[in-house]
Amino acid sequence: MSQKGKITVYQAMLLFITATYTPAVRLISSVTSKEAKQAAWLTPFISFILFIILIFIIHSIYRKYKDVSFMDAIYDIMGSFLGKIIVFLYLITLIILLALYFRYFAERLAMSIYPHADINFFIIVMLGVVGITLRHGIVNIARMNEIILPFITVIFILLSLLLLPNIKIENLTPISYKDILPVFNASFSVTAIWVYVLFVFFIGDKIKNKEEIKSYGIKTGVFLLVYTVLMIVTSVGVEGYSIIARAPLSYFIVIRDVSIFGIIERVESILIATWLLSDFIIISVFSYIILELLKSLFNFNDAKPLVNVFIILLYFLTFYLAINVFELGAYSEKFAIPSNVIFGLVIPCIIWGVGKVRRKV
Amino acid sequence: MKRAFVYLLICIISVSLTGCGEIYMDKHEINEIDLIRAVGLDNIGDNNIRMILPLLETQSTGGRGSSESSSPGQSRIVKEDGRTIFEAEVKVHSYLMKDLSWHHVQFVIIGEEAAKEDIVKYFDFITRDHEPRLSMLPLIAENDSAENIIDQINTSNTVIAKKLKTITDGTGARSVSSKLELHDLIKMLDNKYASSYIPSIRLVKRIERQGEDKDKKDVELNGYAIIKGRRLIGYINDDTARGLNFIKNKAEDGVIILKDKNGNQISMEMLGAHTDIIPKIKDNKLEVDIKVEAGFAIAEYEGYKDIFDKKTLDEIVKAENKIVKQNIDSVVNYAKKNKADFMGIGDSVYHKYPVEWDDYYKKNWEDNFANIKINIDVKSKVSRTFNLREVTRGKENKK
Repeated sequence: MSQKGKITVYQAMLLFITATYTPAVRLISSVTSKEAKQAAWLTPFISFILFIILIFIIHSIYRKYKDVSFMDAIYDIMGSFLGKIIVFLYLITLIILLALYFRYFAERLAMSIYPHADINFFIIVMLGVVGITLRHGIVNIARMNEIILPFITVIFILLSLLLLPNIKIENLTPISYKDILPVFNASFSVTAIWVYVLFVFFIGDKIKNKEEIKSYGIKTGVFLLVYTVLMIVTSVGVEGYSIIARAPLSYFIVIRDVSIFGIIERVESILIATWLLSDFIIISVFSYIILELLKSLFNFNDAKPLVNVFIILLYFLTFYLAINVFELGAYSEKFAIPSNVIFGLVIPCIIWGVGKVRRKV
Repeated sequence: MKRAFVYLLICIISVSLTGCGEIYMDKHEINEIDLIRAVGLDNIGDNNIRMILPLLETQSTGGRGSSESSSPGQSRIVKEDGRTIFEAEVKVHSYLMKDLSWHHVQFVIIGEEAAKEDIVKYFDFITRDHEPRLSMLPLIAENDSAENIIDQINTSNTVIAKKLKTITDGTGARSVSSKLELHDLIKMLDNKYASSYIPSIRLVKRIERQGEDKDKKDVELNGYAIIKGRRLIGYINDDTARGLNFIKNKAEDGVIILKDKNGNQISMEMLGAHTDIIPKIKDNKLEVDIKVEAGFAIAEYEGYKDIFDKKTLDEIVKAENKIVKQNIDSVVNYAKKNKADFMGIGDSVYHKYPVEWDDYYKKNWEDNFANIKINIDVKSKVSRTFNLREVTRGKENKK
């Protein structure tokens, strides 16, 4: 099979890491500290175990289905009819998630630095950029991401280093057996983001050297574990869980207080640059996956002609999703997190289990 | 050709968007902004507040209480009333010729009446709005209004924010106050088992001035306002405030005056201190040990005797221990009497015994705290003196 127009597992994992950055900055510190309080920094360890299980499942499925998409694997394992229903449900989930990220991208800018700006402006600009990018395919997005992710990583490490002296250990302690249940419950929000790795592998037919999923998956898991723990430690360690739990942009308010030798301040502008880049990647990747899902579900030959219609529909859905940012937040916490865990972890486990029983995996 | 046209179009749109004021409403040129560095907030009764903004510009604005004329360098005071802080802020916008920027607010002074009413109410706008930072320093106007404090320190050659910065930077010199950032205060206020402390400032007449500033006063940090729940309950000053600084590991510098056997005074300069709060459960009873280690230097001696022999130094150490213990005793007694744990004793118990705290101690903590046994153990040392050791003509006086 031709390897042209395909990305490597390494590039797929990089796309996934960049895609997790934007929800992590917005959600993880805040939601985990709401539930696990000072012990929030322990939640990624539980999510790490679940992530590794998911990686093993993906690896196991793709060991048998080397050159097909995840959708084709689902059709084969679950049967065509049930498979189409499952893929349709994934399609709906991903469209809603994408609209959520689009809206969050604009609302976050309005909440943080441009309170009087018309969010239409941000959404239309991003839709335009994503529309152009989608026409060039996943390879171009992956290559662009190979520049974007190192930039985000370097900035994140620098910001974390600047925050280290302000961390107070008493904000991260004490830890006792009473924290086990809250940590476990809070870990769902981290897991809900890390399961996006499955969505990236929906376009498995566009990914080569899939025998390396396990190896790169574990490395990715370790990377995510380190950066998520660091993000929670710096947020909760500096501001305390009671403030972080109430902050819609928790990591942002921590970065706002960074001062370099009392001379350079307002470094949050660079954080905004990184989350815009991450927003661009997650929106582009999810849009691409949705187009591939549509292609698979309705047996289209090419998804490119759908781009324009899709972008226009997405614009309206972005506004219909929620009236205000409070609804958006409630939707995110009460619907998106459980649905992500169900579609990103539970259903793949069931598919893998059925595959094992039917000796297809 | 088509591609070149698209790129050209993108370039033209990008360039034209830089002046896109209709869409991008938050764009402000630097000369259109008034930077707020300090803000005062007062309760003026009838559920109304007064916001006082010292702005750095010599220009008449015609606001409710704005100074019509001011000298170069002097702050222009803008005062506005409203039912809420935000309403007052919006009113200021309506007549001020520049846009107010809260990004660089360093100090927020809360008047005493406001603090007595409900301090949380006055911090809501500042913590909720997207412009101010949580690293600003809150201050309480002791026995005064924020308005009067700002008016009094606004002399012809004083920039108010600079003046406040100077006194807060110098808190270590006497160790009777400290810097407290807003996020640390919010954490204390969020803790329903603890009370809070906020540095307090007061007006004093220290510097004699001439001309239009003749009646103006100075401002000093001299202790803390104590907040129980959401309201101000009182102040701790001088030695009691220093006692709190010892407990909170904020005692950096300061002077302790001792006397030798002949009544000659010795000035001891504090070189630093470290305190451990150690809760312990003995026979199901909670006790707390406060262990302080402090270092001192002999900075001044009025007498003529040699005080550097071991015996005298031991006596000095004993006297130091006694004074530090008295400082700490004073704040502990105040806290127990008011059932207000602003010293972080409950937090220490929670950190050492999280399970027991959750199951038992946190319930009814106010009463538990008032009855808890607190042992204070001070170990100080005299580390050094400086340029000269024996006093001048000391040997002659000995004869």
